[in-house]
Amino acid sequence: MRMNKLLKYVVASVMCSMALSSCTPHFPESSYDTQTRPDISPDFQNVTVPVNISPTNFYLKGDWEAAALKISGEKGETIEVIGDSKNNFVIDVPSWKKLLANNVGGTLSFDVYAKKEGRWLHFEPFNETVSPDSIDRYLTYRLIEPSYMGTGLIGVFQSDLETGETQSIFENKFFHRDPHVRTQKCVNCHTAQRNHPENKMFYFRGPNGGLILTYNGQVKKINTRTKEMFAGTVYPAWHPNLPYIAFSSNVIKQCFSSNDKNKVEPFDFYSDLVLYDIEKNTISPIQNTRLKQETNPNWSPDGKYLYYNVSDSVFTVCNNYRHLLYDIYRIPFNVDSLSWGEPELVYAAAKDKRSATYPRVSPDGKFLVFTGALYGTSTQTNRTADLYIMNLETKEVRNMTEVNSPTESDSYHDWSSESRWLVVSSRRGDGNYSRPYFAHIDEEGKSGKPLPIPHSYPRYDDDLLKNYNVVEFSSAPVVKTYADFLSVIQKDEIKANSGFPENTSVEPDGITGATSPRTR
Amino acid sequence: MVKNETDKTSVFAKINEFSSIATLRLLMGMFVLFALLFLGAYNAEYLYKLQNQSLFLKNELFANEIICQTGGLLIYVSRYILQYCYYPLLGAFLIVCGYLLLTKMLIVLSKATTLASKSLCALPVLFVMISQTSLGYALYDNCEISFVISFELGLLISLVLTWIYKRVMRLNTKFGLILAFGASTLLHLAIGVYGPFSLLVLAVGAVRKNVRIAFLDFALFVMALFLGASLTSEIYGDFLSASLFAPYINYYYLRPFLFGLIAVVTVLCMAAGVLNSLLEKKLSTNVSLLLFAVFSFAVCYFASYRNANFRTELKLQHLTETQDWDGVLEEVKSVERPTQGIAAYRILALDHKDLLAKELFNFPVRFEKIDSEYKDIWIGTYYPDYFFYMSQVDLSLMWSMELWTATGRNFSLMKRFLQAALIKGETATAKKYIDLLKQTTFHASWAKDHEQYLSNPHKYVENNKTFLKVARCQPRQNINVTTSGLTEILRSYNNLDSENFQRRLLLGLYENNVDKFLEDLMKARGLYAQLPECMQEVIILYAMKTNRDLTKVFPVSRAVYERVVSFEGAASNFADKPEEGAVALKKYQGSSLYHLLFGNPTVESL
Repeated sequence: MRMNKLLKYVVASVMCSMALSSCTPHFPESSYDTQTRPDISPDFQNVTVPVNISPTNFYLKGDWEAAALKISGEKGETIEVIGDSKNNFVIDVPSWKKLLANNVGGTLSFDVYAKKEGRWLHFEPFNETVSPDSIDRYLTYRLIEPSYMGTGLIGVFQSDLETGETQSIFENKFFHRDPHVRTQKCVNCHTAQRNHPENKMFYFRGPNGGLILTYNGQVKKINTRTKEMFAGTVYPAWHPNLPYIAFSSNVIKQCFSSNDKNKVEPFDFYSDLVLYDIEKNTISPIQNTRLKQETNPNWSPDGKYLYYNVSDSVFTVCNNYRHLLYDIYRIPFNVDSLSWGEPELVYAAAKDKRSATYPRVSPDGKFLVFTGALYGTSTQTNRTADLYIMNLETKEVRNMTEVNSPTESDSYHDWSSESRWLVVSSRRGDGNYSRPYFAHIDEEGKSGKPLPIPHSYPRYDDDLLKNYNVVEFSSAPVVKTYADFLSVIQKDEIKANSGFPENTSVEPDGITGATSPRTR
Repeated sequence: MVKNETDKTSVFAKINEFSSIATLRLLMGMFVLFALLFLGAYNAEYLYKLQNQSLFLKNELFANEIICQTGGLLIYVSRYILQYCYYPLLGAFLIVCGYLLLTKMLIVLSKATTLASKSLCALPVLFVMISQTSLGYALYDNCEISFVISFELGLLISLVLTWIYKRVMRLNTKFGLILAFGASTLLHLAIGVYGPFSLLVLAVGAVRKNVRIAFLDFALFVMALFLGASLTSEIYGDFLSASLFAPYINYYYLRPFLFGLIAVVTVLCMAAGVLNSLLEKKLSTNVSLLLFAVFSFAVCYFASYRNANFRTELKLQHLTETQDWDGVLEEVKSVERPTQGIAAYRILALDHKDLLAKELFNFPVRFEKIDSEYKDIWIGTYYPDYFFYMSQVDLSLMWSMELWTATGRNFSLMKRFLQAALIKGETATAKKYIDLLKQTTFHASWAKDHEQYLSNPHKYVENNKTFLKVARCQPRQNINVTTSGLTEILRSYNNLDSENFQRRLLLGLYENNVDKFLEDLMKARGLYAQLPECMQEVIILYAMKTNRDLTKVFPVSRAVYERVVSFEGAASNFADKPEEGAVALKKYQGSSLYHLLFGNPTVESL
C-alpha cells in the first residue's frame, strides 16, 4: 500500500517536471530575420563598456510570447539567455565576467530573438565594445524626486558597478513621518576625498542637522556656518590630499515657469566660497565678494588650484534669472603657505551670452569638463545644458556632442580615478528623471555613445520614480553604517570656528531681504 | 417515560441551540449589512479616495521599497487590498469579510458560549471600523493610509497566531512558548507590532486561569517587542522607537489613533474574557443584545467622522476626475458653509460650463476652514485640480509634484502627471507614467486608453471638450512665479487672452479685491460689449461711493442700476452690523455686492 503511494508520488513528480520542462522556453533553432533593430531598454546598443562592468541586463519592449538572447564575443565565448515572462534578459554574472575578460579590446555581438504567433524572429544584432579601461567600482548618488520646494524621501545610495547591486548609505525616511519637520529634512551635498569613502561627507539639513563628516575613522556633526556667513555651506569639494573642504555658501532661490519646457529654475541670489579646515575645525573665506557670485568649487588633481564658476550678474527678482551667466575661474592655492593667489579666468562663457558651470578637471590633469547652458548654474533641469570639454594644454573647447542628448539636460558629471570614464546625469530618457550615463574618454578626449547604468533588475530605472543627483565615482564601499550616522545626528553639533578676518560682518540686504556679506 | 423526558429535553436544547445559532446568524447578518452600508455607501467616496491616495505597482522595485520597512509585508499586502476600494462596495465587502473573521477568532479565543457573549465579540470590530473611517484630512497628509487595511489584517493575524500558539502549547507547553516567542519576534520584520501583539493576547487570555503563565507570556511579549524592534531597526536602519509599534498609525493622527487604541483594548478584554463574564453574570441575553445594538449605533453615529465639507470635497474631487461639471454644481447646491476647496471646485465647474460670470457670486459667502491642524493640508484638497483645469498646467504639475514628494505618491497624482504631459506634448514623460500605471490593478485600462495618444498628443486634447479648453487657455506668455494663488498669478501676465482675462477679473472680485479689479477692468475695455451684471454692480456702487464714475466707460443697464441703489440704501442700515445685514439682505445673495459686503474675509486667494 505504502509502496503504491510512493510510486504514485514519483510518477506524479516526474510528469510534473516533464510538463514544466516542456513549458520552459528553449533557445530558437531557426528564426526569420526582421532587418530591424530590437527595441530594448536600457539602450545598450553600440556602446563601449568597461572591462569590469556588471552585466548589461536589458528587456525587450513590446508584446512577445518569448524572447531569447545570444551574446557572442569576438574573441570567443558565448552566452545564451532566455528572457523571463516579461522579456527581461538577466545575464549570469560569472559567465559575463568570463566573456568580458576574454574579449578585452574586442566587441560583443548581441543577437536578440522574439517569438510571435509561434514564430521566432531575429533582430539585427548590435554590439558592445569592451574597453580595457576599468571603471571605479562604485557610484554614489542621491535619489530624489524631481520636486521643487518641500523635501521628500531622499537618500544617498551607492551602486556596485561590478555587480549591479545598490546599497543605501543614508536616508531621511525616519524623519519623514513627522508632519511638522518632514519637508525640511534634506540629505544632500555628499562627496568623498579622492573618490574614496574613508573620508566622506554629506549634509543632513533641518533641525538637528549639520555636516555629517567621516574623517580618520570618526563620524562628527559639524555646523559650518559662522556668524560672518549669510548662508550655510553647500557644493563641497574635498582637497585631494589635505584636510580641507572648499564650499560655496549660497542663498538659493527657485522660480517656476508658468508655461515653459524648463519648469523650474534654481539659482543663487548670493554665493561666496569658503574653506573648512577639518583638523582645526575652522571656516575661512576664499572669495568673499559683494558684487560677484562664486559657486561650484572643484580642486585640480594636484590640489594647487580651485576651479569654480563666477557670475557678475546680481539681480533681485525672480524674472531675471535668465541673465545669470557664469564664467569659469580658478584660484591658485599654495599648499605650503596655505594661501590663495589671484583668480584667473579659465573659460569666458558670459561674453557669448552663455553660462558655464560644474568645472571638473580629469585626474590626469589633461581635460576640463564643464556644463554649458544658455543661462544659470543649477543646470539639472535646464534643457539647454550640455557637456563641454576643454583640453587644458591647447585650451581648445568643444561640445561633447557624442555624449550629449539632443534635447534634454546633460548636466552634473564626475571623472573616474583613471580619467578614462566620465559619468554624466542626463534626462534623455523621459525628459523628467535624470539617470547616470558612462562615457569612455580616450587619450584625445574623444568619446562615444554613453552607457546607461546597468542593474541586476533591468527595469530598475524605468520603474524608478526618482532622479539620480550628484553622481560621483567611488573606489570603495562606504565604511560607516546607518547606525553610525544616526547616532551622530542625535548628538549635539560641533560648531566650526571662524577664520574670517575680524572686520567681516553680515548686513541685511535692503533689496532682497536676504543677508549679504561685506568686508569693511 | 424517563427516556421520553430526556428526549424532550434534548429536543428543547436542540431547538434552543438552533434558535441561538439562527439569532446569532441573523445578528451577524444585520451587522454585515450595516457595515456594508456604512462603508460601501456612506463612506463610498472615502474608500474611493483612500485607494486614489495610495499607490501599488506590480514591480520588483516597488515591492522592495515597501517591504523593506518594519511591518513591510503587511503594508504591501494592505496596499494591494486597498486597491479594491476603487469599487467601494467591493472594498467594503473585503473589509467586512475581515470583520467576520476577526469576530470569529475572538469568539474562538474568548470561548464565548452564549449568544450575548458571542455577539459582544463584534464590539472591537466596531471600533476598528470607526478607526478606519476616521482619517479625515489626514488622508491628504503623508500618513500611510493602508493603515485602514493593515490595522484590521494585523489584528486578525495576531489572533490567528495566538490561536496557533495555544494549540501548540496544548501539545507541548515548553515548545509552544519557544515557538510563540521566536515566531512573534521574527514576525516583527514582516507584520510589525502585530507579531508580538499575539503574545499579549496570549497573556491576557491566561490571566484568569494562571497568573504565573500570564506574567510569563507578558514578559515574552515585552521581550519579543523590543527584540523584534531592535532586529528590524538594525536591518532597516530605523530608530528603535519608530520600529516598536509600526505599522500602527502615528499618534499625530489623533482620531484614528485613539479609536484604534480602543479597538485594541477591547480585543484584549475580549481575549481575557472580562467583558463576556461580566455580561453573562449581570445581564440577560436580550438586554445585552439590545444594549449592544444601541451602543453600536451610538458609537457609529457619534464617533464616526462626519465632517460634511470633507465628504463634499471627496465627492467633488471624484466628479471632477470624470469631468462631470453638472454633478459638481448639483453637489455644491446644498452646501451652506463651504471650504475654499469646495468654492474652487464650483469655480472650475462654472468655468467649464461658461457660467462663471453669471453664477459665480450665487453661493454662500461665509467660508469655513478645513478641520485639520496641519498647515498646508488644504493645498492637497484642490490645488492640483484647480490649477490644471484653469489651464495653468505647469503650476498644477508643480503643486502635484510637491504633494507627491511631501505627502506621498499616489494614483491620483500619477494620472495628473500623465494628463499634464500629454497636454504639453511631452510624450516621453507621458510614456513613463503610462508604463507605470499599466502595472496597476484598476488604473491599467485607463493608462492603456491613453497609449493611443503617445503618437499624436493633439488628439488627446481634440477628443475632450474640457481638455480642449485647458489647452486652449494655457497662457502663451511664460512668466516666472513662486507660490502665489491662481488669481495673483493671472494678474502677473501682461498679455492674457480674453478667457483668462475674464477669469482674472472675476476671481479678483470674488476675493474682494475691488481696487485690483477696477485696475484690471480698465485694461479690459475691448473685452466686453456689455459687462456682466456682477461687474456692472461693482462699478455702479463704486461710482456712487467715490468720484470715479466708470459707468461712462462701461455702460450699465437700468435694472442693475436700480438694484444697486436699492441694495445700497438697505445696506446702509447695517453698516456696523454685518451679521444682521447678511441675514436681512439675503434676497440680494447671488450679487457681487452682497458678496463684497458680507463675504468671508478669510478667502484671501484661491
